[in-house]
Amino acid sequence: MSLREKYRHSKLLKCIVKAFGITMLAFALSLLLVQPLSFSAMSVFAPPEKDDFSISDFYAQVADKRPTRYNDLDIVIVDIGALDREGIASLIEEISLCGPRCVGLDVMFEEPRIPAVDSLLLNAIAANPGIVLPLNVAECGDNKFKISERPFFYKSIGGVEYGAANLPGKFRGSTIREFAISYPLDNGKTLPSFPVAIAKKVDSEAVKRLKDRGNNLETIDYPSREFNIIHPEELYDHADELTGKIVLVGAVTDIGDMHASPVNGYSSGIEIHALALSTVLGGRYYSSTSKIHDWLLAWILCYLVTLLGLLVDVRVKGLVVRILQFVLVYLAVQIGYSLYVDHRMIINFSYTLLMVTFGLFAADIWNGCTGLNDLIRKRLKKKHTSENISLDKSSK
Amino acid sequence: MKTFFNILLAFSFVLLPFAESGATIKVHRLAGKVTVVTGKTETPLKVGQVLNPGSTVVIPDGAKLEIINDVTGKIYESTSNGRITISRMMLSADSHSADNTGNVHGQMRRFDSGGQNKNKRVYVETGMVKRSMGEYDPEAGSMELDIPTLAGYLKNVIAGRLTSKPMPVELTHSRTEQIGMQFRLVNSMEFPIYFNVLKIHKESDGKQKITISEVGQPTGSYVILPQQALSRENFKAIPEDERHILVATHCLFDMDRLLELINTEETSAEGPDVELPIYIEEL
Repeated sequence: MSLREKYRHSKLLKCIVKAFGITMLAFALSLLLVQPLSFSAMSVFAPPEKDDFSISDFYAQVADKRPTRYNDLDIVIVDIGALDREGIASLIEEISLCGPRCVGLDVMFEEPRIPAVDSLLLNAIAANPGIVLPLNVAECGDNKFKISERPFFYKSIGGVEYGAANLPGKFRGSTIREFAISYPLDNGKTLPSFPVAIAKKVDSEAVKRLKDRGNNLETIDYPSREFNIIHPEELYDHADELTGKIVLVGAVTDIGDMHASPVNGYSSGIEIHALALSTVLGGRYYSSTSKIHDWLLAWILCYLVTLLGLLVDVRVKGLVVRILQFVLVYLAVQIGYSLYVDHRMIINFSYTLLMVTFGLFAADIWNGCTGLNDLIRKRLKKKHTSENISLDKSSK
Repeated sequence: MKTFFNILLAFSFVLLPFAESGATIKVHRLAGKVTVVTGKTETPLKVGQVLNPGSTVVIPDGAKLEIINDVTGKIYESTSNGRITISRMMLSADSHSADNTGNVHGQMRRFDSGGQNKNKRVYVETGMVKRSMGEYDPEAGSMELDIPTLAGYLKNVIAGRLTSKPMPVELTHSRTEQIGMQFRLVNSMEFPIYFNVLKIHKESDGKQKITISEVGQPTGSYVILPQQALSRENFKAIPEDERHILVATHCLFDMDRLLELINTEETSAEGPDVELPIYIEEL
């Protein structure tokens, strides 16, 4: 029996091929929706800056609302509030007296101001050996960066380390999900990011482990973590809480330094740096599957649902398929969350959700096209038969 | 039997570390009136108060309690209201956290439900900008100071014939020859304050000239809304014979017209109504 004949007589083979076709169609429809450069329903109905959702944001929000959390015992944030340069100088000097393990000052002093105050500031900074200060870098093409903002005393005080305070995002104002490990500079050197520069000072092994992972961006472990925040006026009463701790000094409520995070619309830059630092020191890294794997998983699951739908031979077939779809979508969300929260693994199940949803639509299109094809073939056959009859009549 | 073993297991995981490490449980955060039961009395809890696993707390409806293990830094949040022991509260928080399915369901419910406030809107955000001399100025658009009167009053104050009323808002300033000058004005009034800083200097021909100061607003005037503050600095050295005067009023004034009038000899130098809301201070 030839393969063609086998196909004609085997229902299973027919279903396998049909399910493949439907899945490919669902895949094409899904691609059409997610490709940014193609015609996309999203681009028609939503502005591009709204295209900033990741399924891991959903998992992070769920995890963050759990009734147990951790207060990071190694990192303390000191808020500068509305302090001016002189106030910040005295604050840093007071912090140095508390015996911190390391200080990270997330404030940029770009220009010199009043010499007397600047002198106070420089003395206060010098009183904290190993203090880490921020720089700002800008892309200059070819995946290289150049320093775009630096303090006026850059490299003039010994024992000061620098780190790039940039927060990587998809676009300006987008959700900050990751932190950079380092920035390759145009002069051939490499500048660590602000949290990594601090981590280097306190735990070089942790930084080595981070670098061994080979990534230049790592996901920040946002959920269920908080820090003690001490305001300037409270410093005197909480001085002992700074001893032996990593102290990050910055503005917690400055509107100019608020960023969207997966768990909060308004997270301050200093808190994001603290979370990134905590991620490095705790080694709490997330591993993600590649886009190809995510699509492959989506394709396989969609194929299985479609095949099962075709093989089920009951009267309420439509209902069964829809229930099957719903169960799969539900399981995808539940499994995705469990992997995220228990195994720190991010699998982008959004492709699966998309393809399974499109599976039914694709089946309808497939059936419609098959029906249309049958109709055309029947018409053509009928026409051909009637033409043959008329030819026979005329020949007679 | 299985449930009993589960509770025993959870108990050993949650509470044994306390016994071994000598960790203390402290009140981390409070919302509402949460009390601790000691004997037959209930005393309100305070943040930082030390509790033990056997302590009984009463969490009323709408209230919330968070406790922290000061050794591990783990925070436990109350998941129910009523009378509960600390150990039970910690067990409950742990089991809720471990319930992945329940947590996802909870988030899905939150997506959809908005309760009674689902269709309610708050009107707290404003989609507009506030500019010092914008045309949109409902607070003082219809009011404007009479410029000849203001010019006359200002001339008298500059000449030392009149003394201005004390500034009704918080104004701090400093000036030194080496580092220039700076000021900070905080509007503690309940209405906007309009002000500018004028510079009085002598030109090469020896004539006195009044212009806008380097720390002033070159076009129009500064407007400070209630509870807002503004500070300006200029780090250039200022000659000794140069004077900088801050003129503040409750309503809008035409700065260009004022400069035009004040620099002419014809301006009346008579004293105006002392009740005029004009405040002048030399920086």
